[in-house]
Amino acid sequence: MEGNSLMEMFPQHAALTQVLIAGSNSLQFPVENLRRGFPGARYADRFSVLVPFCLDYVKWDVVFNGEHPAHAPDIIFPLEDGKFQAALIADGNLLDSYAAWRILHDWNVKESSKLLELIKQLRLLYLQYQRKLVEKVEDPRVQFEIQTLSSMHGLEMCLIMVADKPSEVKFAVPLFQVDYDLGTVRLQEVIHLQVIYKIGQSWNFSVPQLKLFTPHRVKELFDVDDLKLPAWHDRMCIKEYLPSLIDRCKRQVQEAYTSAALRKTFIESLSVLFGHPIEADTIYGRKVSVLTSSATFIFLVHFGLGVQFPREQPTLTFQSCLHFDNNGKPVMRLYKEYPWSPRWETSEMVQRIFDFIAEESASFKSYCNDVLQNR
Amino acid sequence: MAAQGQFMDPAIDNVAVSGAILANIFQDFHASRGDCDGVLFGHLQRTISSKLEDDDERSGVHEEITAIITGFFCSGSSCSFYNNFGRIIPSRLAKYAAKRGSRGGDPIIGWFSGRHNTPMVPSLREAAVTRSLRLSGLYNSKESSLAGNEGGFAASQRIGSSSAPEECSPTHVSIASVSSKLYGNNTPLIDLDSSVPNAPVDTLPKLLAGQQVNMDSTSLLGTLSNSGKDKGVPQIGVPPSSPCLLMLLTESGAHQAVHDHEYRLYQYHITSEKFEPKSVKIVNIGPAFRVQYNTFLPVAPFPHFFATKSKESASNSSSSSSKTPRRDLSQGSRTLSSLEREQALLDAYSEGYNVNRLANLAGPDGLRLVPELEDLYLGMLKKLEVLAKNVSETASALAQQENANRQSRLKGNFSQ
Repeated sequence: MEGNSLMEMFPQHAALTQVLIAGSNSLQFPVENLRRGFPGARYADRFSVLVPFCLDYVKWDVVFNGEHPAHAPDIIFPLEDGKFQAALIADGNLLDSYAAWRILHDWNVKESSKLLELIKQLRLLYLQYQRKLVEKVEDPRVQFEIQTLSSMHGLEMCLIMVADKPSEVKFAVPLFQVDYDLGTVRLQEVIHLQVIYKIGQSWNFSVPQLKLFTPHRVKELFDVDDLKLPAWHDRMCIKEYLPSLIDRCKRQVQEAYTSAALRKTFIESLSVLFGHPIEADTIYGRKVSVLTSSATFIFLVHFGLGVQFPREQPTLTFQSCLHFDNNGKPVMRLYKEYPWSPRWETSEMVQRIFDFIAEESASFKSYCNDVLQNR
Repeated sequence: MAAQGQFMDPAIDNVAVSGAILANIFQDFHASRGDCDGVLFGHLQRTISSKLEDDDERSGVHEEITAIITGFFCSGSSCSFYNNFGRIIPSRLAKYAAKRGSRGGDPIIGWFSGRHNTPMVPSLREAAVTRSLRLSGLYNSKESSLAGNEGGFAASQRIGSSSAPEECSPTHVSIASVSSKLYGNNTPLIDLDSSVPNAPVDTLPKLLAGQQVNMDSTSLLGTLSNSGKDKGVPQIGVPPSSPCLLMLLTESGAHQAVHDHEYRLYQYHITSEKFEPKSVKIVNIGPAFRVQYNTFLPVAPFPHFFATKSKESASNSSSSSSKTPRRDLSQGSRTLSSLEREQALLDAYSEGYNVNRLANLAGPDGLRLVPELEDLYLGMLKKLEVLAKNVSETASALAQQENANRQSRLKGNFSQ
């Protein structure tokens, strides 16, 4: 959310919301749809918050009262979670919601961390509630999985209902934490495996839906789509499946670390022949742009470096500084194939690319001129 | 959960509200700018209509129960009669409930919450308030019966002993109720039909303590029972005989919305802790609402049957001065004796079938109806016979008269 839309809120509410948006290390709570009650209202006092849950988000509405800023906020859950709400209010046996109510009871609009605390508490209760729902599912396979995984820290699960009947059980199994120091940024994110069981299918014949989830920031470093999931054998359970997967995953992440390091040395050694890069991605080393020229023809070269860098050769995009097409955009050309070997030393890679660019510059210039004439 | 089994929320089929009241609620909501809430007053109405089908087996009596909202009080802001976490503040609610006299006179049937630009789903606080409203109504009815049996003091002592020491400190009373039910023992919150007669009292303070901010547990009971005795309006909260309704209103203000004003009505069921959406009939005047006339029940009852008769008798006795029923009634004994005469006359007209017996004709007990209907039918047949006899007698008398006339005319002609 943009800062200036927060300005429309009652100042203390805005502070609360800011803390909520910032979230904590591992949990982020995106806030959206900040709005006024009605067009003439003094403050925007209601918004939706996306609460991370089971590798997805649930949307809750937070309603302050702009006319009475000291009142505690009210939370609106989606209609399908009516039972969760009832459990929060009514039953001491099902959910231990005391802490959440305590926050509402002691509400003080000046303590800006309270809203985040409340939402986090409610999220924990929601996790508990969904777990209870899954535990009640009468499916031997799901029961077995819960028993074997029960001690796992950070395990989340939920029940997916279709037409008021339990249809699927979704597990979000944390695999391991990626901990990578990228100089300015320290990446500490958890990679999850999502397992979806269809309820009521026999143990033998169905393979659950498996999918790896990486947090957004890790994607720059490591692409789960590249990872081939180990085979799921008949009569397998998650606990049995995890070791081989974690093993494979860790190896891949290790490769990603080395690749990132290699990308950085590559970027650094570019300066020997191309001069200092105009722009470079110094965190993940995925992009770098250099300015180069052949006689009076000046052009930019953008390097695109993949997560499997030395194995996968960089893409080169030439961009002329002198030629523009019909739409006023600079003329560009993409090169994916040119002489390349992952076994070369970094200095040789740079040398070869330099040679290729020098060779190709003439033909790129004529390509640019063609574009100019045809327009 | 079995403990809650005894109390059943009255089942209703739908909710009716007059167009004027609904419009008034929206008007007040709009006028309060911001979100607001208030209480709804109303009663239940049972409509029995016979379903006639060609096939006899499918015909029968169709019963429909409608909750009718007859009045409301809008507080003008939110959190008016409850606190941040949805516990009712009885003193404020009692103040609102006291307004019912000028607003239809019915007891509280629920409450409404108007909030702008939000999903039309009961929120966390609204659900808590609704539950609290329902429970305190139940508690009070329970409490009054208890006070009658054992005396208020005994009951209050038990309440005092049941609450833990730290709960007595005024500032902690409200949350202590939450804590005792959540952290402490695992007893179900409501224990209304436990086999041990005293058990309900032990659990009830947990329900109520939260609603009584700044009150220690002994004065709590005293206040409640006093307010009940003094005003004769014991219920704070929704009485057990009424359903507990929650009406959500919104005014989106956004132009893309199809409706600017939206409302939704839910019935809260304490046993299942569910909000069940109910359809709302808006009652206006016009031919489409003929059904409403059939079930019309005047709030101010008409004077009894004899009053109209006395009017008749008054006009019959040609006392031109007294035309209003009130004057007739004030005339006292003379009218009363004439009433008896009239009654005797009426009974003669109805061939002995008393008007009061008509009431026996409606009701669910089919077997009892049969002889009653046969009696009525016999009475009607007798009446028809009498009428037929009267007709034939008059006819013959007429014929005789005409004959006589004709003969006298003939005689006259001859004499001329």
